[in-house]
Amino acid sequence: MTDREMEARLAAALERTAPDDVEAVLARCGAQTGAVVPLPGQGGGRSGKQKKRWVPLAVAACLVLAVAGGGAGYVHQLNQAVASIVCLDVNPSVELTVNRKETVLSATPANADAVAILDGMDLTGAKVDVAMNAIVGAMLTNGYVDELANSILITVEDDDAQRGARLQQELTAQAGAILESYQVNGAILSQTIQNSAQLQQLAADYGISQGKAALIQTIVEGSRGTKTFESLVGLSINELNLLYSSLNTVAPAPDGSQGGQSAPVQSTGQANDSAYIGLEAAQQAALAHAGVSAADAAFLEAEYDWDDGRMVYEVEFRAGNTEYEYEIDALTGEVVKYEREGGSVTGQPGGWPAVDTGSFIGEEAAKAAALADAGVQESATTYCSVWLDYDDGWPECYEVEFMADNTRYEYKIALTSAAVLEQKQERYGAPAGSGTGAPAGSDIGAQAAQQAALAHAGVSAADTYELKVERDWDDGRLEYEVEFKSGGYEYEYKISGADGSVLEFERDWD
Amino acid sequence: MLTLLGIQTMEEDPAGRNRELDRLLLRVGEGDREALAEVYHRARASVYALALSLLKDAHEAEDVAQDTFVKVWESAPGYRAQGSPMAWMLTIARNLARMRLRREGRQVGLEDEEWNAIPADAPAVSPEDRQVLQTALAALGAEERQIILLHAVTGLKHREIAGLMELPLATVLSKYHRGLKKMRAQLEGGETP
Repeated sequence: MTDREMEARLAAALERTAPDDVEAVLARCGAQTGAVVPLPGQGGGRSGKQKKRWVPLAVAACLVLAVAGGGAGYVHQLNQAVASIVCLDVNPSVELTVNRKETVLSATPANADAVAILDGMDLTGAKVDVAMNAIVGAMLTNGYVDELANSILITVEDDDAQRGARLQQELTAQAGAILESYQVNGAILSQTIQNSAQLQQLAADYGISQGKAALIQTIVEGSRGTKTFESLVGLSINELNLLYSSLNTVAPAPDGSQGGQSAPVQSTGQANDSAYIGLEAAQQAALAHAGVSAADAAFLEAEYDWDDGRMVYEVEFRAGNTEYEYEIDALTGEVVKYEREGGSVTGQPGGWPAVDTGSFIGEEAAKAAALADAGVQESATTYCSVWLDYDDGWPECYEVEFMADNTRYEYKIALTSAAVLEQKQERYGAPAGSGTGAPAGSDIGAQAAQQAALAHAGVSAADTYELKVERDWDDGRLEYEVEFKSGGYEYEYKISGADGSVLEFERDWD
Repeated sequence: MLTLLGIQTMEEDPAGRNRELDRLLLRVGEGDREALAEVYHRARASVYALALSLLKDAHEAEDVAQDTFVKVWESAPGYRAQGSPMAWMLTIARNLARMRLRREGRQVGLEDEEWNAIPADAPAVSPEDRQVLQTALAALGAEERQIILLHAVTGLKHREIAGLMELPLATVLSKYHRGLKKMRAQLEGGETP
């Protein structure tokens, strides 16, 4: 069964299982009350500006406040005119438009997360601080902001930078006060951005708010090429705050700017990292793995990072003339990656974790095990190589490769038991000294091909399962592909359809 | 009539399917109950699948699925076509399911033996359906189950699923492939004598 068939089967099962009672739904649907209050004469868009494309499926909350600008004009017009947009990213999402008197004109969920948050709230006509209080309060009580994920991002979009900055400060102070009143030790990131087609596109492409897109872009730029936008899209605002804070602890860039940051993101409070093991524990995990005592280590750097879909600590330290770089899983303390530079090349320098190579069988024994399994004398090989194979810095197995009788063999041999872990065999050209012996176009048949494979494997048909034989043509040559499982191994053969000889053979752990 | 034409042209065309759903939702926003019925017809399995994957209980998933369409009706006046109407509805379903879990104080899913995937009265459900849902899904982890159900039933792309589940794309992809592998082993193991 292919993946597609399996998914189709699942989809069909769910189609039949899902309730089908539209009347019950329609019976519950009364008058619609969640209508957006439109901005008169603006088609819902902003005065003099292109309509924004706020994405509905924002992961983060986006509280958008459209605030009217001051200046002369008709009071009525001013009351509807929009000067700036403020986006508050938490987790669910809300859009508010606000007039110059800071009164809410409309309240709209910017994503579906906020539908539940705004449920039953009528914010139209409320002062913006009251509306903000209510919305952040609802997010707090619904568990979207808590001690474990305490970060909020406020983004002001305004082409008038001064006005935007003023608003940014006011709202940051306001949000801080709300969090304090709920006794949440919050962390607030705030930024002022300008209308940008690139940000709009990124937000639309990745289904996030423009505020979050702007923050991610800032972190990507500050990472000096180590991060991509896509890799950070799934992170929460709290995780982004931790990463952003890490970037800011890096030494200033040559131009004097902090950590290479290009956008003015201000940070107050500290993102909560109590879900993680902590920098000190990460340093200890790295030292323990390296076998270096804390007294001998000079730490160069320790910070949060996001790599391979998980939060990690990057820990760098020096001991003697060796420099170590570790990535420690921030949740589990597991060593994810490590590297070292300098020090002695051979042996186990600087307390590097010792591998008990004394129990290994050695390269000669590994070679002998492979040759014996193939039934080939070393003198009959045209070349025979053996080496210790490493995975993630640790010895994994011996690999043995040799060529004999127009056949190339590849073996993986266990480090201590000489067991054959994996075997591949590929034949090139005609078998030596035999010729095919069979007339062109002859076909031994599927049964004979199956027998040939089983005989080669030393397995009886009764001891196999999932036995498959397929007839195939390859480069004008008739072949049979025989696959079966037996004794914990999976076998794959290509058998010549002309003479029953084994063309290819692979055996692996099932 | 337009709707019928839409069905024919969108079956194998995700973009066309999204456009059609977008149009329907805009009509729902204008108070069109027939459009809501059509949205229900097209999305009921997807919404139910997501609710089921989160709640692991057929009865509760049915409730949440119904609540979701009522919420879609209420929220549609504020809906703006952004090219991912299914994701919009599924986010509503996800939130309602999560709120239900929070209200009941069960953040963690039920144990496998408590997994109740099949409604008690479902005459159209074949033994094969039961095998796929009950046996295969019980073998999957919570996130694997959600990802595979969403991909199989909703037609959402992995990137959209990552957004909906608030998971990195790489995590979604690896869990998807690992989950399918597990499911195949379970199903084919069950089929092989």
